[in-house]
Amino acid sequence: MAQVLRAMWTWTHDVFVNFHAKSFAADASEKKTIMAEPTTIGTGTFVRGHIRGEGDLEVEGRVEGDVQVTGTVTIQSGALLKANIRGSHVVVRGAVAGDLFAEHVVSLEEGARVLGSIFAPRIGIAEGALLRGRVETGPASEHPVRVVAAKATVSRPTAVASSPARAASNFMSPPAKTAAMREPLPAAPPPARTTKPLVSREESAALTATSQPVRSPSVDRSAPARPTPPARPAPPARPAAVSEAPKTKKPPPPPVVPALKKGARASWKKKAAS
Amino acid sequence: MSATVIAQGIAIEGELTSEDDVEITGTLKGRLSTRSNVTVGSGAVVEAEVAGSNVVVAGHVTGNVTAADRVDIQPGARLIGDIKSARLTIADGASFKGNVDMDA
Repeated sequence: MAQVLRAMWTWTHDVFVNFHAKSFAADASEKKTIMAEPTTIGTGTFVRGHIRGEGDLEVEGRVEGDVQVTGTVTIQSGALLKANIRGSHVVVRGAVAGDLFAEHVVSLEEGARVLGSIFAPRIGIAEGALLRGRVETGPASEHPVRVVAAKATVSRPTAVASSPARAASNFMSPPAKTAAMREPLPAAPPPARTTKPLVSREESAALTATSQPVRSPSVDRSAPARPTPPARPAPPARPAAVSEAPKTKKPPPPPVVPALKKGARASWKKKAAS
Repeated sequence: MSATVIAQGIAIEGELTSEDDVEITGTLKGRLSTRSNVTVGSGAVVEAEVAGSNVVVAGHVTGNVTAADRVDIQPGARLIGDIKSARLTIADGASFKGNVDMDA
């Protein structure tokens, strides 16, 4: 009798404990899904302004302005960004005109189109990704300072023109100052890199060149209540973005095969025959 | 699901235009307009002009709210600004300061 009772007790106990464990697990998973809901800019959404904060960010729509988050930035295919992007990880499958900075990894996956430079300790570029800009790997702490220094000269007028609140919250200001102070010194290079000064000069030129088209939206933003442009699908953006870049470069070389009028070859043949 | 979500901890400063639902539990300053629904969750801070078809407010909103369909202010919400909407509900426990225009 006692055995039976004990068996029953253990059984009920097990059932009770399991039930509670399950319900707690369910609660936890539910909470997790709620907490894990990332910030998403959907396909039909256009953000003009900057996005900052802690957490992940997923972009499927359009963004014009700077993006700076502590988590992973995912730019899905079909997304279109005119922005400098900072995050711990940056994954690109869409189109970006702007520089990418990551604490850990920048990875360009198939379908990515990037017009701008990449700075991260680790960089992955998959087959089918398109990149036009500088790529620099190395410890993350090394790059943002120099980049900010180069960019501060470009961005300062817009920062002043915009609201004081924005200028105050501008994350670039303090590093820009320190970088400006550091700039007169020839950036103490590690012995391996002997071509450093030349590279850095080229880099700053490239940066000003690449950051110009990126900066233009912020100038636009300061204009009050400008009607938003109609939403463009992603593919047409590429010619537009490409057409911005050649301004700073020399025109493309003439085609190897000269364009001939229709029937030109035939007329030559006729002449040769006669 | 292609809705736009601004999660807690994320702040957008500028203009957000959308065709889809927009859900905010983070911070938005500037302007928000969508053709679809807007949900301002509890804990959200919105300092913006808000326009949508169906606007549900459970967090803090400072700015005018315009809805094509309806505005729903839930308990615990705090809204400072004018409301322009054909239909409006203000729950017990919500705080609201502003004018209401319910002209259809």
